[in-house]
Amino acid sequence: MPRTPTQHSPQDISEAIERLDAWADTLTAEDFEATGDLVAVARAADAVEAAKAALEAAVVNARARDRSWNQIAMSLGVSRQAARQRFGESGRADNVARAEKTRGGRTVGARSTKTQAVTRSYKKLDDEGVRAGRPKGTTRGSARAKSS
Amino acid sequence: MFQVVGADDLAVLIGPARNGTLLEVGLLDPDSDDPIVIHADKARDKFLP
Repeated sequence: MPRTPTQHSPQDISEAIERLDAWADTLTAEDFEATGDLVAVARAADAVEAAKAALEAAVVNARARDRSWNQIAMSLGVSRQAARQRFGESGRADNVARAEKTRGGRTVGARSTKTQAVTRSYKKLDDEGVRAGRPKGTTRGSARAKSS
Repeated sequence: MFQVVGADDLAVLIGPARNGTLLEVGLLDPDSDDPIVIHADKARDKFLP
């Protein structure tokens, strides 16, 4: 269950700094406990997140190259249904793949007129920043910087 | 990384910066979801093993 962020007034923090200074003066090297095991846990967790992002990007790239869900599922070592549920159910992988394929007005592979029309719609939305939820005229990076 | 926790809501960490300099960092509410850094400086000599 998420905890409510603790609120501290500037006076609380000033008082904590004074307490920390006084306490730190009494500490010696023997008081410190090695936490390398916890650092290893944190680094492994970061690596897992990075690997998940890399896998999703790889699937998007494969879809942009017209790879079928069957082919992707074989590479993942899972069923076609499992691959689609994990990466394609929300449509994100295919939506991003469509945008990637049409970026710069270039398309990859033969598609029907209907598919091309849908692709153009995605590109238009992407160019306007609608799907990414960012204001028109901003890049993903600048929108993120403004929102933070 | 080394740490010592005391007074319930305070902790001091000792660990290397990216350039290898050992730092001491003081935290308020170290076990909460939003610990606050209230001190950061080069580690005192007495903290070095």
